Amino acid sequence: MNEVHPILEVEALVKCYASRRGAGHSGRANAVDGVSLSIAPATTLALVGESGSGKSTLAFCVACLEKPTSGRIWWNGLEVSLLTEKDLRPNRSRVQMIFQDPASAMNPRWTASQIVAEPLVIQNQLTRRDQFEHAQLLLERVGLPASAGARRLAEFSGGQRQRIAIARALALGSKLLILDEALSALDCSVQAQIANLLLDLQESSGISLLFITHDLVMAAHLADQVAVMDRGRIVEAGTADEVIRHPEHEQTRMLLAASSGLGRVTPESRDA
Amino acid sequence: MIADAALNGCVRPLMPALLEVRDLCVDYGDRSGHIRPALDSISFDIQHGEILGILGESGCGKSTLALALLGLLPSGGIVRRGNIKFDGRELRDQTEREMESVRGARISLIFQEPSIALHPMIRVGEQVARVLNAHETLDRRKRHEKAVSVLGEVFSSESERIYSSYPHQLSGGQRQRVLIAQAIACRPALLIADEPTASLDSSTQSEILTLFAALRQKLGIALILISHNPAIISQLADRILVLYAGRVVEEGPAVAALRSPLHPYPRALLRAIPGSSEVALLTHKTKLPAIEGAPPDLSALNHGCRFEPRCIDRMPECTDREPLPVEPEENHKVACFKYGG
Repeated sequence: MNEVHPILEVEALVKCYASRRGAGHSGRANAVDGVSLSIAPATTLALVGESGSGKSTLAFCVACLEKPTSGRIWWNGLEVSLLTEKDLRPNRSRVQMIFQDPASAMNPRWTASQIVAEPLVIQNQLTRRDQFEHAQLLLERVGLPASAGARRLAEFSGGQRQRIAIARALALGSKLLILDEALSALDCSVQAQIANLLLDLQESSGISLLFITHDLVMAAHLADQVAVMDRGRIVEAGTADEVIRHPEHEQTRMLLAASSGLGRVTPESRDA
Repeated sequence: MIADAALNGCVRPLMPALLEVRDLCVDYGDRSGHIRPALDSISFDIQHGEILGILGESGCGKSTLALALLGLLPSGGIVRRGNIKFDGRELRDQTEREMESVRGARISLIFQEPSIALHPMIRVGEQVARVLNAHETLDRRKRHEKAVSVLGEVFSSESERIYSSYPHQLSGGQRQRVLIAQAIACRPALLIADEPTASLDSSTQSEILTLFAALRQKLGIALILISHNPAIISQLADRILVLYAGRVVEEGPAVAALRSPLHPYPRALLRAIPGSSEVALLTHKTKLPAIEGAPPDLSALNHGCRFEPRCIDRMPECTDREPLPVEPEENHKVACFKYGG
């Protein structure tokens, strides 16, 4: 039993939504179509793809927020795809998710420390007073001033709200954070600040990250491993360095061209 | 031909500018009478067919500028000072009725979130036709034909099918194209696009930018492209204006001003983006050189340069007064004491 389990392991995952009636929805392929991946402790896997490539569906399945059609999922050696909702609940704290718009998953009437303490309240951990003290520590750990705890959501900028979301995700000592386009809605300068915070947290507490994005360059900067998704499948995977220096698949090259720095478009490239 | 001159960036055409903004100051006041300045002494020109990129962080006044140009400031917002001269007319002197004939017809605005800007229960073609109806007298059949042909300018095929679709049946990129169709339906001289690609993924983003480039070439429409992302601006703009905390800190030809910015703010902004030249040399998983802190609270400004608290090149004089714009390179202005100011 000395073997180190991956923080996350996924085998042949398939998710297929019953096709809805209406224009354009008939005969749709699987949203996730046979994906296998694994994340080692204290490392980052970036999952890169366009919208509609299935990356968010995969994230929801991995976080056990959606039931996969078939396939197996392990969290740190525990096969969660076999568990009932009741057995899953005490284990949910192992994996936390952060979304593009953190405000949509927060009560606007609550203070920042109430928001961060909520998982502790739900899981019934610590006394009331310790819960808020812990929340205060977490807010400081994600780089917010000590006064932030008493302020409400409307008083924070987008970047600060994302920091609050990260603090909440850390509250239960999760080993894996799933970030679904968590930087995409932020200004470039704020993206860099939050990216640095993630690097810091990984170094200091050894958490693993599943970083989902369409920005291949940012993905390659933050991640150890990069997997490129297209139409429900992983079409290219490797170390960040390999993927960015020697992109093999057409989709990877397209994502690279779309996210690499300063360039110019011309009218002629229309509909190319 | 006009567009060609503008493409070259530095050529000053002999025609008068399409839009001349001089010393524009905008304040927001709240009910308690508290006043918060939003824009301070903004001046710039746009030539016919030119693409001007406006770059800056959220809260720097980019959207306020777009709304002020069209006389659409939200309640509490007032233009305290300055001139907005468009096509020879002073827009600040126009009545509300006169402004209605400018908006959507001569100057159009494209918002960032296409799913909010379209009515969910009206066919998109009808929504394009309504813009035509507001500004031109056309019979039903002509209006339909014209709306289809405008859609044909932004979609490469199937404009009839798109015409009779509802917004929810279209993708994000297609909805953005519909908004662009609405914006160009009356052949405006100027388009203002406020973060037009923020909600789109990367390949759709470049399709939309390519469409703007094509529209400029074909119809000679000038464009103000507003974004926080230098990569987006660099793809289209002939010239750029960098806003920081409600002031212009740099203005110049896009290629020069983005490749080697003069002001410490855009320099720091570019350094913070992975993949931009300087960071390419950084090893992966190392800290990005982020600009620490946030833009200042404009209702509590100090005397000095607004960027001074976050600037890595600060000097003693930076806290004394605000730097004035100087022109160290031809057509390339900067407001920083490093260059005199």
